[in-house]
Amino acid sequence: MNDKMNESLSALVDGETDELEVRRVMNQIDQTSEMLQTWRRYQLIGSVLRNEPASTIDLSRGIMQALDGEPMDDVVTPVSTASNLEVSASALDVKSSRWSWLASGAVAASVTLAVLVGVRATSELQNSALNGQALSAVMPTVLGLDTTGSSDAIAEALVSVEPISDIAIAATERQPQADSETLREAQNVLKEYVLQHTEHASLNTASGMMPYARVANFEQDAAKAKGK
Amino acid sequence: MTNLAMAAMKQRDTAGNGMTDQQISDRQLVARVQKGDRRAFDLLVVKYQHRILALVGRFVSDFAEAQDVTQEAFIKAYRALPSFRGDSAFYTWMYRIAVNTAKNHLISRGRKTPTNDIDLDDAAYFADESHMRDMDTPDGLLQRDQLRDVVFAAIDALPEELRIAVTLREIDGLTYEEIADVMECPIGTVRSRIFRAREAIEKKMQPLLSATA
Repeated sequence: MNDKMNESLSALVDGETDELEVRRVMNQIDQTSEMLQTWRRYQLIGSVLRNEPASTIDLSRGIMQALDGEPMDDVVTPVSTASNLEVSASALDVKSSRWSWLASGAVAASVTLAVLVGVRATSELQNSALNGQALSAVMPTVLGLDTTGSSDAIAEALVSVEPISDIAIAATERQPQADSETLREAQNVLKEYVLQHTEHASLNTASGMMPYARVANFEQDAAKAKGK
Repeated sequence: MTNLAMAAMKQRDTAGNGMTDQQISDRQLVARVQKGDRRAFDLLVVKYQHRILALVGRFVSDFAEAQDVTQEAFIKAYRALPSFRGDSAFYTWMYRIAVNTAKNHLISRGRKTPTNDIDLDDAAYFADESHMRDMDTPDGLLQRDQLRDVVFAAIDALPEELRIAVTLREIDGLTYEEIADVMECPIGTVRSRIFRAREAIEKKMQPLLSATA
């Protein structure tokens, strides 16, 4: 039986087998690794006789090890291992659906983040604009400015009136019932509003930087005025 | 390989459909690989690894690199086998993959690729032995020479009918039918003689292969 099978293997080396014989040999190779070793030796004999170079080198083990566990693309499922391949195919499906879920989740998260950042930025801009408007509505009356001026002009005026604290203190002095702590808080809030508006103005207009430049000047001017 | 064998391998069309028996046999193995039989691919690798290594050796001069490129070519071939429709012989298809892999390897290393491709028939049957011999390691060369001595000594020791049958097959590349014509015997007898010759040579090889394993 073994000799008969080896003779078939020998014929397969020479390409002299029919399909049925190939099937028998392959089934035998599946059952015993000795057949594969015999195939190697028969091929080696031919290789040596034909004086092929590097005939003692055997790359097949490394190649087959490298291919271990690697599925072939679009391989036709053999009947004997159909269930195994179905399992692996379903596992691949699960993997791919997980990846697609993750990908869509990542896209949704990034869109949400972008919207949140956008909304926050817009609301901050609106807030600072509202603050500016509120101040522009209130401060001119306090400072006796012309309300037809631009917001830049108002901001300029606000900053230039660095003794805002003085005004506020003066106002608080006219309201003796308010305690000094509340007044300080109000003063700080007012300063923050002014700074926010100024920063906003400096970001959006080229001339917006000027109020900052004038703060230092004003301080110097105020000191000079006081000196006079 | 002799010119007779070369001509025989190039022109033979025993199946009458443009394919040699070897190609039909390869196609059967390829069909099995395409159905998921990895052992069949192992057989193809063992069968063609030395020819492909010799071919790659024409492009890549370093022996270790040539082995890596050959391995990579077979792995690529395995991955691409589902798309192999059998329009050409498996070796022809494998040859193209190996050449492309070798060229890509050279490009990736910033080296120049040869301007002229190697002729398929030359690559298949006239591997540049001297070139590959230079590439082989001293141990490999020694082992190869020892193996060669053992095999040819075994051939010389064979009965004449076995020796003629196996040399006509392995060295001259004749088909069983052609050998049967030359030896004036049935094809079944040729088949049996070649098998018995291989068995006898294999027995002589065993001690050397066991010692080097």
